[in-house]
Amino acid sequence: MNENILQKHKYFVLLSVPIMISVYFVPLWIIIMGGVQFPDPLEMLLYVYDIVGGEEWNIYTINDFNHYVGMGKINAEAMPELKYMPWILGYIILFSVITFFHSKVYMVLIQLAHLTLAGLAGMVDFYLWLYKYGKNMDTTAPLYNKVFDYQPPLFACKQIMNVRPCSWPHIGTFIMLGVAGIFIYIAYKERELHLKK
Amino acid sequence: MRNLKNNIRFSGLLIVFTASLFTSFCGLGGGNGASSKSGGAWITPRYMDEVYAFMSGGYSGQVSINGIPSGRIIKQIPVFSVFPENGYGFDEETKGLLMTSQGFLPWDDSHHPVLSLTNGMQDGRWLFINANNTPRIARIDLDWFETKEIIEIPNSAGNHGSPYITENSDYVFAATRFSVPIPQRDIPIESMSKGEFNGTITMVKLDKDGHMSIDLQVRVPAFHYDKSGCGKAVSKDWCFFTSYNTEQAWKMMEAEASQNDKDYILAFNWKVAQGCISKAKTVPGVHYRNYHPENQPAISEKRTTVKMIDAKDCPGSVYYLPTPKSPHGVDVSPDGELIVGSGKLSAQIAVHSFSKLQKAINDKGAIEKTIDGVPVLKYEATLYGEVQKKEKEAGKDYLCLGPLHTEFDNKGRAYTSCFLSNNIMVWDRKTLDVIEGLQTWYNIGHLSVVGGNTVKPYGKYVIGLDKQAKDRMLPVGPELHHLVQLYDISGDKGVFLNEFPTIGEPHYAQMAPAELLAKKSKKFYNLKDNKHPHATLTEDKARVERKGKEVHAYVTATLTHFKPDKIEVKKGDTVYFHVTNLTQEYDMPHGFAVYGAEFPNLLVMPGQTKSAMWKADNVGVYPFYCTDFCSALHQEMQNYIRVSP
Repeated sequence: MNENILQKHKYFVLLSVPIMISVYFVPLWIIIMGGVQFPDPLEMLLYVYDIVGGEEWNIYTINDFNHYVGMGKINAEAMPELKYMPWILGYIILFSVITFFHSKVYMVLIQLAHLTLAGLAGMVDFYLWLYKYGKNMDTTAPLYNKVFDYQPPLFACKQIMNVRPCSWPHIGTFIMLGVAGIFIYIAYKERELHLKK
Repeated sequence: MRNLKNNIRFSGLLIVFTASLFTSFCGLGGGNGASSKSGGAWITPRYMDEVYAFMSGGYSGQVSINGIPSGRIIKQIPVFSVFPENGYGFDEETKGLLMTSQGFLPWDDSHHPVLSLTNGMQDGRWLFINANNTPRIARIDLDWFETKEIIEIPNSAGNHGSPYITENSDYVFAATRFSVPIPQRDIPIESMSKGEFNGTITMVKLDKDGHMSIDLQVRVPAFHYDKSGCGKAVSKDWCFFTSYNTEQAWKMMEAEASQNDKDYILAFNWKVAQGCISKAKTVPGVHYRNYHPENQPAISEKRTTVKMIDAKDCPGSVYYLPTPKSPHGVDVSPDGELIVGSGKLSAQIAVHSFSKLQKAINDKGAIEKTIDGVPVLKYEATLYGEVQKKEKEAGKDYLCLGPLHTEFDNKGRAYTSCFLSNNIMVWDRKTLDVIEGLQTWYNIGHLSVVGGNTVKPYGKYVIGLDKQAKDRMLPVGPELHHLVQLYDISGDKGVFLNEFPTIGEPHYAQMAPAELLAKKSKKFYNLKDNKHPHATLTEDKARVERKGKEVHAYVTATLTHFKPDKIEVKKGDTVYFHVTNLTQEYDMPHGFAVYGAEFPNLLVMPGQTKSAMWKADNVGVYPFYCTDFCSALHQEMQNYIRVSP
């Protein structure tokens, strides 16, 4: 555990730094709101620090429609996650830098744990947000009907009244999965070396 | 004999069938779902048409757009007439567009839609159209498909030979269909024949944003200038205007103006005329130029003078080309070489040659005479040839009686509409040989080929715009809409595809391929760009403000309610409603109608602000509501205005 990792692996660790920095600039997740009357679907893109529409005004229009059924407004400023998520990512990136200079096997394993925890926490948090968003309804809204489940899907598609939101991971998530892959690879190779010894 | 006829009919059917199969397999313009159900004109729902057809509305004063080949009406654009359906000409934003030297005018007669050009090709920026009755030219923006500007033409009457455009959209033109005293004054009508009337050719300059201003008016002899067509390529510095009534009759013109064997095509070198602007005099010419900035009230500017010059004082700018009898259309071939004049009252299509014209103007011997200092060239000196009727072939007589207009395709052919013989004559541009006749029902006026007035026509379709429909549609009382016939001209022979009715009386139409316009069409007004002085950009700013007896209600409309919740005024107040549609989605207007209002529906596009005035004359509580079915709660989109004593 306290052994140094291979020179090659050190550079893999270093490589993870710019790759993860790019995640600030791409969406992590996308929710596409399609429906019969939405040939151009409305899109909601989740970034590390923001929620934006696929096109200008999409979020505005989603809110416009959602007030009918009593769903709350999507408001990036009122979402604390978006405030601390960039710092968490920053910490993970910094940890890669430290790992490059202090290139011990246990550092790689800790980083792998970071990535796993951050990913899981992100998913749980996102699910809770969707739950709150879909369950915390204004029951006086014109089209509110308790027989419907308004919670948008975390993954894949779901029919909610006359719209069909689909929720999919976006580039940022795939990049993070890739980074996790790099660290799994390093850990695996280091384990092989360790066993050989 | 009968067998032969049947055979011909059968092979005709076969051609239609194979052509439709062909078009359905190829998919018009790359798979737009055209199928063989109606000979290639059927567009499968969900798929879109291949071509936009901009139809003038004639006495409706508007422009309508049909999809080709289906013929479906897609839109009506209000231009010269008020349009209660959406408030055009009634609301405070568009009223100003209809201002003229004669005051606010609610109607006109729109004739010739003309698309803007760059290097002789359609560029999809603007559509221009003339008002015939009170001379004006309008510019329609093709991002918004809305009228953005209207300029009035002074010292003119009957703006018919208009608004044909130069190859690089430098100028659009206007010409007097009715010669009048210039300047207007009280003189006996009989003096028409004594040279006291005049015509004018007006050069309307376009700046890079399409704004129009009058550069110059050229005073010409008092004939009636009918139609025009501008040169291109080799003849790009020229425009051509037909004339009738060179007899200068002032009454019973149907006979008195039809005596001369030849009238004239006026050939106008606008480059030379441009050089004469500095020599021109400033003369009275009250006219309005009305401009509608994006999402703001229209601005009406009154101008009082124009620059004018007599044709004789600008030598080299105007020539007359004798052309058989009361020529109507004058159209220039894509290479700019052929100037086709259709002798309305003859069976001849006279084709002038531009290169011969160039020679003739430098040859003293080619000048027959002068009229008010304008040289008249000899007929033979400029003539390329005449399109003659084709002798009978397969039982058909290809005769063009009453030729009116000519357009061109991408295969070296010309298409001339023949009013009296009810057909489109197809002829070869080089040999002038008639190739075939395409039947129309009935009394075709204009015709149009896709890109048919450009240097490189798109071709593929020709439409004939008829004056009568008679037995072609279900009877609905004494009058029928005018019909259009559509032919596929991509093959060796024209194939009849479709016919459909139109709005008003389309005179001319221009067609453009869908790919030029479809992608850039705007979807809504962005609230962030809304600079309307009375805009209300968020719901919390909806309010009622009083200024003495004037009340301004700043109303917001969104899915699906108005704000403020109530409007309270006093009897005798003048109430201005300023309605802003806060929705930001394509195809989601809200309507606004108030009980007893003199203004009609305000159809407010997403992000747009529209205003209208209402007199609170009667005490009571009155509803206002949304007129455009916007959602499941559209019916609930309503509020009240209270008028207290």
